[in-house]
Amino acid sequence: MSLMRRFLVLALLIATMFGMQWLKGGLGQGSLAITFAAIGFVVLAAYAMAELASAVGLPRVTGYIVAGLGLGPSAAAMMGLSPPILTEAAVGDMKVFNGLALALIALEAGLELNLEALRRFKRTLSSIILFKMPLSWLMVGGGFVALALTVMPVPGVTEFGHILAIGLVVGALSVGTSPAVSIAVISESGIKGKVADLVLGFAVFKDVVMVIMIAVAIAVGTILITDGAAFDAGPFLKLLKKVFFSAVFGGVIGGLLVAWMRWVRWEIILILLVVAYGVNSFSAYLHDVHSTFQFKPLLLFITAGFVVGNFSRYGHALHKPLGLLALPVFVIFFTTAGAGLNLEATIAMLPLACSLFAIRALMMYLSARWGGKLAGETTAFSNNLWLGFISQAGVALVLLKVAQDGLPALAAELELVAFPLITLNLLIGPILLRVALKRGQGIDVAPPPGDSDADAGPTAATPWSGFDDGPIEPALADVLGETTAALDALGQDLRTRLLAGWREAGQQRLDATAEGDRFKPAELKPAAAFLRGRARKLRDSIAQLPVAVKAGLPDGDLTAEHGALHLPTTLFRLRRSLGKTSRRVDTRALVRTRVEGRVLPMLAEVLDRIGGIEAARIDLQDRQQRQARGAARNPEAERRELETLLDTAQADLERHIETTLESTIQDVAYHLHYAETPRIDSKAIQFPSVSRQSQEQLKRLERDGVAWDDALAAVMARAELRHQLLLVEQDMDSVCENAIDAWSEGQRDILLSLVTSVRDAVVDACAALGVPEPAEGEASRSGEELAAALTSSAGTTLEDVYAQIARLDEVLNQGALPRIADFRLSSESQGPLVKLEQLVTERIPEVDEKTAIAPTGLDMSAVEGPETVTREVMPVSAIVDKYLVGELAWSLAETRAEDEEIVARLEQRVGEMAGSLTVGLKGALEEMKERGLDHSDHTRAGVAFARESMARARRIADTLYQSLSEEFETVPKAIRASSEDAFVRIYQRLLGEPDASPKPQQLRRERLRRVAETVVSKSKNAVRKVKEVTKTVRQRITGSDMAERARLRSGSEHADPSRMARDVFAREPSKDQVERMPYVLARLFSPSRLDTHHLLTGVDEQVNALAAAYERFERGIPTAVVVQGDAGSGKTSMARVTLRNLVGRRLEDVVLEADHRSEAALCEALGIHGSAFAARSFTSLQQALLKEGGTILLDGLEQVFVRNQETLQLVRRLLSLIMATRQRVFWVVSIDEPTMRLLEPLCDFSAYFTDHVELPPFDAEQLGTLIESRCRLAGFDIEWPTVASRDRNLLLRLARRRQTVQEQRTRFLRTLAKTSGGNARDALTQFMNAIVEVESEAIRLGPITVAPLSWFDQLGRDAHRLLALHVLCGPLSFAECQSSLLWAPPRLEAAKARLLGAGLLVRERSGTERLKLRSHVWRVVTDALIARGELLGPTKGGS
Amino acid sequence: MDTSLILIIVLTFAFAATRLEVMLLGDKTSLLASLEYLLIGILVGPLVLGVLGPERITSLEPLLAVVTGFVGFLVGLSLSVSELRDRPPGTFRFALSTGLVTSLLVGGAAFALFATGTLGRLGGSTETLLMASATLGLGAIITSGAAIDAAVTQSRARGPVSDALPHAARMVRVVAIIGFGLALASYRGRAADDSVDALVWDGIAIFGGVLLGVIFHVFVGNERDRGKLFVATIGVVALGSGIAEALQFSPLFINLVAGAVIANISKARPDLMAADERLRRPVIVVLLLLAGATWKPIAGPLWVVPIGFVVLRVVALRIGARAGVGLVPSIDDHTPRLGNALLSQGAIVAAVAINYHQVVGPSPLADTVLTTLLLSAVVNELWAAPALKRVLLDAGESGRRPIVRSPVRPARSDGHGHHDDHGHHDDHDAPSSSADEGAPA
Repeated sequence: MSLMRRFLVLALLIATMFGMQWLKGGLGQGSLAITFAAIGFVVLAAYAMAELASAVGLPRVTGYIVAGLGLGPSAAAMMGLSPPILTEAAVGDMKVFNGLALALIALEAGLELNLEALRRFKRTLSSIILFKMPLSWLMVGGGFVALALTVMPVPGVTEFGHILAIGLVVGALSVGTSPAVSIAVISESGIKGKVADLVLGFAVFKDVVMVIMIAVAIAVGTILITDGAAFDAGPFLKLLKKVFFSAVFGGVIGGLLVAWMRWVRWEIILILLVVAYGVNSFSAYLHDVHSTFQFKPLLLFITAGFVVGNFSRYGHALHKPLGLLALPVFVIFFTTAGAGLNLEATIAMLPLACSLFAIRALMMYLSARWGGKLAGETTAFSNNLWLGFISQAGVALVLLKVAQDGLPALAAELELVAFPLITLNLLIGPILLRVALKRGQGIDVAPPPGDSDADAGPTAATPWSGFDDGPIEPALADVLGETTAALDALGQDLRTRLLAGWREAGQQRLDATAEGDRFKPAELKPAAAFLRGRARKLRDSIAQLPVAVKAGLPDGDLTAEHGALHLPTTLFRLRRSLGKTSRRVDTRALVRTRVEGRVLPMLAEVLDRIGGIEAARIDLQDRQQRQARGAARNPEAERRELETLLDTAQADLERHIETTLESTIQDVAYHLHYAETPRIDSKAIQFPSVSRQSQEQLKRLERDGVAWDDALAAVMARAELRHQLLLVEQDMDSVCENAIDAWSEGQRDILLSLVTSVRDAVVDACAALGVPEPAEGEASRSGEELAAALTSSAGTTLEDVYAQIARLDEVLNQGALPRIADFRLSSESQGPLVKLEQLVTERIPEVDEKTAIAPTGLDMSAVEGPETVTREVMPVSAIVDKYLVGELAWSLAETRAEDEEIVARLEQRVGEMAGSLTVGLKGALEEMKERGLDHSDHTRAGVAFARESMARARRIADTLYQSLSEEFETVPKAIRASSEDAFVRIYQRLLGEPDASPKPQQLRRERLRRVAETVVSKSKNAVRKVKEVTKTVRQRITGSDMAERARLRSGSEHADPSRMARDVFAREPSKDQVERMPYVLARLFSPSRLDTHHLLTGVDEQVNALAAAYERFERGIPTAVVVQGDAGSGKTSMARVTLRNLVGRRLEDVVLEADHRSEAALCEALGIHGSAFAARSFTSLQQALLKEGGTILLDGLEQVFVRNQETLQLVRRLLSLIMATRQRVFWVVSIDEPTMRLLEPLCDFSAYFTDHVELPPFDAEQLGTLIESRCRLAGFDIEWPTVASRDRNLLLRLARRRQTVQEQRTRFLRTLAKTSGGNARDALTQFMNAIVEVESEAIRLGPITVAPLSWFDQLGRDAHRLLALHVLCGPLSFAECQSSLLWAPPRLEAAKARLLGAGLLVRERSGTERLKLRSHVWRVVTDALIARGELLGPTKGGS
Repeated sequence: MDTSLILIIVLTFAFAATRLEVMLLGDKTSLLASLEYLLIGILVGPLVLGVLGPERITSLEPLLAVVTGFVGFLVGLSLSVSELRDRPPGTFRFALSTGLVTSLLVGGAAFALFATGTLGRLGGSTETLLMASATLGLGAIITSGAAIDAAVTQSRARGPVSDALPHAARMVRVVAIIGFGLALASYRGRAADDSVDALVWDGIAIFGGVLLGVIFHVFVGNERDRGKLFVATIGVVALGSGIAEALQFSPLFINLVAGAVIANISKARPDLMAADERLRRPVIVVLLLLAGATWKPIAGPLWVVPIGFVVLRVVALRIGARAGVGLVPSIDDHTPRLGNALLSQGAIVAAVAINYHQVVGPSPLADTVLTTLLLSAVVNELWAAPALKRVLLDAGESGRRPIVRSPVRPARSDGHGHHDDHGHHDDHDAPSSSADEGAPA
């Protein structure tokens, strides 16, 4: 829960309680109702407060207490709040939970008391308590007396006897530590260990001590304050009885709980409640009716918990329900404890309380220090331990109440003094305990004497470390000598045979010439067998030793390190004083225990280390080849690196063996020397203590040898597979590069040189005919202007024209064209790219079907055993097939198809040019001659016409060369990218490589990290956070799309062009986005690539209509089809793909451009084959078409019509041509909707066509099919977004909280259909923009975000009109715009600048002046213009 | 003896009784249902044994409010909008029209009876009489969806009636509780000596519930810690019930709103439903026990009201159901006794009765309403199941669902077949939805 949430919860709760109290008014309901509300409030508020405390590093218990303090009646009275949130009555009522809470605390304390831990810490426990008891009375009680008598008198207490009695009680109380707080803090921190065990043990036992001390204090206090009173031992006996009965009943209750959990077990929580309440009530009942048979519930529950925890297996099972029940009870208990504190009294007595607190802390410190020293604890440990003893809570308060009852004359004074002290302990204790626990983790705790050291590692600090003297007894010295000899022999064997052999094998791997051999790991099964053999040999050597040896006692004071209470030492002293001077040492068992306990684990570790090093070596080799992918390798450096690894490892291993053996010898010497003395624990030299471990080590050696071989085989499999794949990749790369070279030399250069020769020929012809050089803006001249410019240069005759025609005929028709055609035919069947496809398919390697591989990135330094080397069985063959056979081969086929298309387009363009410049030009001159012009007019008109044609041909040739160069650039790039992409994916999938393009992930991680840092830094200052949140909320409201749209539309805010441009650019996929997508995917989703058969999904109706129309045409019925739809809706693509299927290569695909805005140019574009080449007028074209027939797909008609009379006439004549020729020519005209709607009333457009195919917007399902088919083709699944942007609305989110994948898909597609308007191009673009991440086999989508063009109105009407003109007419020059709109240049200039600034208009091509509408905003701009009446909308058009 | 101890004993009894009931009767408990606990309540109450004396019952009233609140919370948790959208078409219209007609008929008749003074002076003001009539009218439409589920399962029925009835019953139940909660808030507004309008008190009651739900949501956040959810549930229910008790609202209603808010905005709902599942039965048992202990016999002539209520309810439900079918013919148009399917009332009606009794305070009128609703619950429980089965038979839907046996036996932890480590017991042996509004059936 964030900081803000916690504050919010607290604020809401406090507001709720105040609201309830305000509304309650005078209803006069009983306090119990308020109590229940208060319980609910306390539970929630205190928990939230505790989380706040936890967030700032305080214990949760402190949070509960502080919540109680702050919300309680005392604090409310100080602040003048009336009534308080928690009334005194409510606090009193809630104390009904105290008994339950204490019972649960005691039960949990008992469960936490570990018998084993107590045994281990008994010395520390008893020593500290021993010091604490007198010190608490002496220091705290005495301190109080001294202070009260001198500087801090207690009001109303003047007599020394009274002061002394209070001092006794305070001293007794100061001994205690709260088990509840201890348990709560320890559970919450989760820190276990010696400090936690000791603190808990102290807390529980000191409560017992405190009970006794309080009884003593009361008894003595009574004597002190009562005249003539004598000491009475009765209460002590009573107390002892209570303790006894508590222990007995506790045992019984514990037994019953065990029985319940064993045989019944249901509703444990309820049973705990019953037991807690029942025992408390029974205790109270006995207290009233029975004077002897009584018990203390606290002790009883501790005993019960102790029994369950230590004498049954249900301790853990009891923890869970206990924890669940205890949580709310503790919350209420501690909060009530806080709320019950009297703040005023605490503050009034604060100086005295602080002084006593300090004295008590000092007392705790000294007790822990001295007690720890006595028990042999380290100083650091003792200095930290006292911090855990400070806390006090419920038990102390209860005992204070007991003391008040015992000394009624001092009840008020006792409360005045003890209450503030307990309060301070309550508040500060948990914090100090937490500190103690945390510090305790870092303190090196010395093992208590007598602990078994068989498990100690060779490097641990040991008493025998450096013990080189050895036993003096000759028999023992012999034993040591033989042991040393056996261990030396073992060491020698390990060094010379095992390690040297392994190192030699490693060297052989390095020297291996065959690449595959280099990865081969050393076989560890024989090594394990060798180690097992050595272990057995060592055992045999030890078996030769004498079973036992009689020896004298060693010299020196063997009791020096033990206290007087150490029983073995005392017995030893006794025996020695009785004259016993010899001992019997079980030498064989001793040596076997000490040696096997150390050497066998060492042998197993040696095996594991060798295995780990082998794995690291192969991993390093694999890393080296991975790093060297695509780069030159440095074998020398690689070898040095490997040698260093092996040398270091060998040296480490030798050192390890030597150290262990040396340490073992010292250990044996030490134990032989001190055996059968108190210095040696008898268990440490008994073989059964290590026999199980020894057997396990031997089994491990047997097992791990095989396991290591398997693990290393998996690591090697990865390296080998990578090696194999790298070879294949190299091979593929070389094949690709060879193919690219062959293609460059054999195709690209030749074709470019051909185009150059064509261009040169045209340029020469232009020069010969006096065609002026192209100047800036020429393209924008109108036909008349151009004609004037062309006719202005005189001196050229028709003969010159014919001469140039003849020359061009030779260059183009007889030279270039046949060569291109030949080339095209040969490249389609046996071009380099065809060969590349074949070669790639042939070179795909044969690999295993499945292999177990240790994935890349496994941290070999963390490998500790064969089981830690993770393995994964990979479907190698399937993955390689998927990416090489499927993806790469398909991608190369696509590239080849693209290349063929480029050549086909080139052939078509050169053919058009050749036709128009030779046959067409000649025919036009003949046609002019037939018109009956006189010679001079004929010459002028003919020359002008020829010059116009030449000039256009020159432009086309230039463009052709430029575009051809650019298109050819893409082919090698595509081939390399396909190969790279395929291999990267194989490495990722197969070898677990990290994604080679981690950009998006890194960006996301970076973004997350930044967000996290921001959140953390913000949380440090709550006030600032509140301000920021307020600011953010305001910004979110004012900065929301809706608000912004409203501001922009209302005109109260003006959008700046940069924002406009940003919104426009945001509708296109960014370069980064495209680059980080896999190559194939980017190609498929490029919106310019709509014309594949994959688009033909969801347009069956249109396809059928077109097919039906063609069928009619085939039957001789005159047919012409108009296909209408928005730009980017896929109409032309649909028609193209359908017609290609119907007529194949006979389809004449005519794309009109802005250059075709004259009759001659238009006819030239349309007359694309046969005799129609010569046509330069509609009449001749009509004749030619009627003669030739065919199928023509005409696209871009809107580019011809510039909204002036001249181009309208052109369109009308074109329509007449279609009308006249549709019996022989199957016309399919694709036209944008707005243009169609404009032309309809101007020239009755639709009447010229027999069939109308409309491409309506795609619906969500159609878009889904379109997108999914493309994704499937690229080999990706789609992971639909779980939250759509629109669904950020709370209500919608609530309503659609859980959705199936199908629902997510539907929602996404519906949103897409809505935002894209069903336009295929827009939909694909937005789909690309929505891609969040491309994983190995899936595309993860995020919500669709489309920047709204809210500022559109602010562009102004002129800009809208100019936009409308571009929508209708396509690319337009300044002059064309001016002639259409009839505006003054400054006005047009201003509108144009605005649209350029907004990014809505862009240049048609670099270097040209014509501007066109950015394609990605075409639909949205068209809609906006229709909405504003600048364009005819569908309804208007329809009417 | 300490009240807390008595409470613990009562709770233990509740759990033990639930346990025994499941062990001995399994899913055949629909015949006895709530009857036995009410009777036990009467037995241990002041009337017979006096274990729970009047003072103790008074001191346990806030606890009763918490238990009632918990029932409301559970009902609220089941109100997930996304799940409600899956109901069969027309169910809501059917439920609303049936409920409206039935409650108007019963409530109107009760008001007429009380206002004319036929039975003597039962209460003071018109508001009091209206509140009593509204409680009876709304109590009449409370129907146990769990009982219907059980009967449908046992009859292996399938069809429009079987599909629609459980949903309709749950909707009517929610409508009744909401109506009751709002009526009680309005009544408190009119009864209180202040200038605040009754509608404002309605608004405060709703706001209180929403606020508690929001507090729960903010408190729990995205965490799924079981301990925290437990604390949050206890805290919110206790706070809501305490507030309702202090302000004389309906704890049932406030906690229902809180539960509904949580069900729709918090992701903790599934965890809560799972955690609360095993507390349902014991809570209901405690509720019925205390309801039984609270009951006091009414004067002789006043028995006309409970008996008349039981009869009139049957008639009104039939009329209401016909009206509902008239609006939504797709549910069923050929079952004349469709109203009989909605007879079973479950334990929520006891919660409503207790709630009313607590707010209005002991009076002949309140005792009469309590007696009426408890008697109705008991009597209807006796013949609701056969009546419902007959309806399903008439509708031709009985026996149309195939017997599907699970290929795997449900897991049992040990030979006793009922426990896991966390003290979960296998209440799921009974139909899982059997206690969705707390009916032990």
